[in-house]
Amino acid sequence: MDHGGHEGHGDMEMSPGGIPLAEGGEDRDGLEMDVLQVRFGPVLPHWPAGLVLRCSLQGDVIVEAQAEVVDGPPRQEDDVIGSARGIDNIASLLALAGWDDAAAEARRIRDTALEPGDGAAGSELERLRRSVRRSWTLRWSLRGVRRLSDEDAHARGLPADAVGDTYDRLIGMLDRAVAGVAATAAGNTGTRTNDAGRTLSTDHLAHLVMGLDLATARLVLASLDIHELLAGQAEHEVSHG
Amino acid sequence: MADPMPMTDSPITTVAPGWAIVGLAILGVLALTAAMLDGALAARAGGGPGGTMGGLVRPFGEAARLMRQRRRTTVEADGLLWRIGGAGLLVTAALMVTVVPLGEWTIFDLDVGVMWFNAMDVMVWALVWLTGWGANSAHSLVGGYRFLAHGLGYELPLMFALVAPAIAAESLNVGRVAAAQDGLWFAVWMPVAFLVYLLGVAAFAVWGPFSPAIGTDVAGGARAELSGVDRLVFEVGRYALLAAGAAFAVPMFLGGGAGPLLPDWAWVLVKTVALLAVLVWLRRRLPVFRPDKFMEVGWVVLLPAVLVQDLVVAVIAVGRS
Repeated sequence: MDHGGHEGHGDMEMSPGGIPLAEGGEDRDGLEMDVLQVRFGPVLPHWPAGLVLRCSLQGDVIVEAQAEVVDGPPRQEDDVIGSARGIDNIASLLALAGWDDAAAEARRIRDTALEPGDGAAGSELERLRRSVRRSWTLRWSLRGVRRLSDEDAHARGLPADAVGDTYDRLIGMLDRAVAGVAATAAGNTGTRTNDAGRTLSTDHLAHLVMGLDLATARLVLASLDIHELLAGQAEHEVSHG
Repeated sequence: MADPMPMTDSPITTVAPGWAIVGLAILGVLALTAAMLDGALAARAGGGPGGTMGGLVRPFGEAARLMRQRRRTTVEADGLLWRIGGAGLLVTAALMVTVVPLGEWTIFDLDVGVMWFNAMDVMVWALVWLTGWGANSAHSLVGGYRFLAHGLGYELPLMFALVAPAIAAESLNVGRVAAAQDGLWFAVWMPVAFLVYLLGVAAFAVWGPFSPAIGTDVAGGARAELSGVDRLVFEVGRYALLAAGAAFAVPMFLGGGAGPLLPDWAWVLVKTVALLAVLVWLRRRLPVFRPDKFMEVGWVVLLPAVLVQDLVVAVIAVGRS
C-alpha cells in the first residue's frame, strides 16, 4: 500500500516508521474520525487499467477523491480483442461482487472468445447472462448502487448505457458482450473505433465515487466499462492538445 | 416428542483430557475435507489444469506453497496482536468442538455448553478485527471494519437461534439438548432457528456470502498482508471454524448421534460432513452479502423471525411440561 501524498508533513516524530499518522477530520455524523490518505492504482486486481485514484478515507468511506490516468496511448483493437475486453470487465464486476464461480465462468468464456473459430462463446455467454439475471442475491446487492439518471449521465459526459444503477449497467454489459460476440461470429470484423460519445473526464469519475464506501465505489467503477471510456478519453485529450 | 424425557444425570461420558488430541485430529480431518471439496468445486467451475480431481489436491499444493513462502512484514505492524488474531481462529475452533459430544463421549461436559460455544464464536469478532488491525495497512483495516459491520448483523440472530433448542431441551448442556430430540430433530420443527444458525456459522467462518472482510474488492481485506505460515494458519482456522460450526449443529439441531445401523459416533461424523458439504457448496452459489445491506436484513428480517421462532418453541415447551 502507499502512504505517500503527505509530503508537507515532514515531522518524523509524528510519523512512526516514516508513515504519517492519520489526522482527524469531521465524519458524516459530525464526530471526528481519522482520515487515511490511500492511493488505489492498477496493481489492484479487477481495477481498470491505467486509472489511479487518490482517496481520503474515513473508515472505508471515500470522502475525497482525485482521479488520473497513467495509461499510454490507446491501442487499436480489433473486434475480437474488444469483445474479450468487455467480457473481462464483466468477470471483474462479478468477482468484486464476490461471486467467484460466475467470475470464473466469465473468464473461461473470455478465453474461448479469444480463440479463433468455433463460436462457442456465444451460447456460453447467453447461459451466463441467464444465470446472472436469475440471481436475486446479486440483484439485491447491486440494485440502487449509484443510480444515474439521463441528466446525470449527460452532465458527467457518460454514455447513454451508463444510465440506471449498477445492476442495470451489469446487464447492459452482458447484452453488449452477447451482441459483440454474435457480430464477430457473423464475420462482422473490422477495426474498432472508439465511439466519440464514450468519453469521460477524470473529475467526473472522482465525483462518482465520493461518499461511497470502498466496496461500493469499486462496484460502480467496474460497472462503467471504464476501459473503453479511458481509451476514449485519452484520444479526446490528444485531439485537443 | 410427547413422552417426557427421563432426566438422568447426564446422557454422556467425559473422556480423559488426552483424548483432546483425537478431537483435534478429527477437526483437522474435517477441515481438510472441506478444503478438498472446495478445491474440487472451484476446479469444476473454473476449468484449469487437472480438472475436478486435480482440485481435490489443491489444498495440499497451496499448503506447500505457503509453507515455503517467506513471511512478508509491514512497517510498524503490531506483530503480537496480528499473530494472536491470525492463529486464534484455529484455537477458537478447537475450543468449540470440546463441548460437541461424539456419540456418548465428550471432552468437556459443561452445564453451559451452549453458552460456551456462543462465547467462542463471539471471540471471532476480536480475532478477525485484530488480524485486520495488526498489519497496519489500509486494506486489512477496512477488512476488519467490515467484519464488525457484519457481526452487528449476524451475532444477535445467531444467539437467539441457539436459544431455541436450549428452551426445548430445558438445558444448556449440549448432551441433554441432543438427547431431548427423541425421534424428532429440532431442525424439523424449528427450521428458522436452524437456517439462521447456519448463516451464523458461515458468518463466523468468514465464509462465502459473509466473506467481504477478506474480499477481493479490498485486496484480501483482513488477510491482505498475511503471508507464508501465518496465512496458512488463518485459512486452516477458517475451515476449522466452518467444521466446528457444522459439528455443533449436529447435537443442537440434527438429533446428535441418533440414527439406524451405524454407531452413535459415526452418525455424528456423517451428519457433520453432510452439513459441511452443504456449507461449502453454498459459497459457490451466492455473491457476497454487502455488510451495509446485510445489517438491515439481520435486524429487520432475521432477528424478528428468530424471536418469533423462540416464542413458538417456548409456548410448545410450556404446553408440554
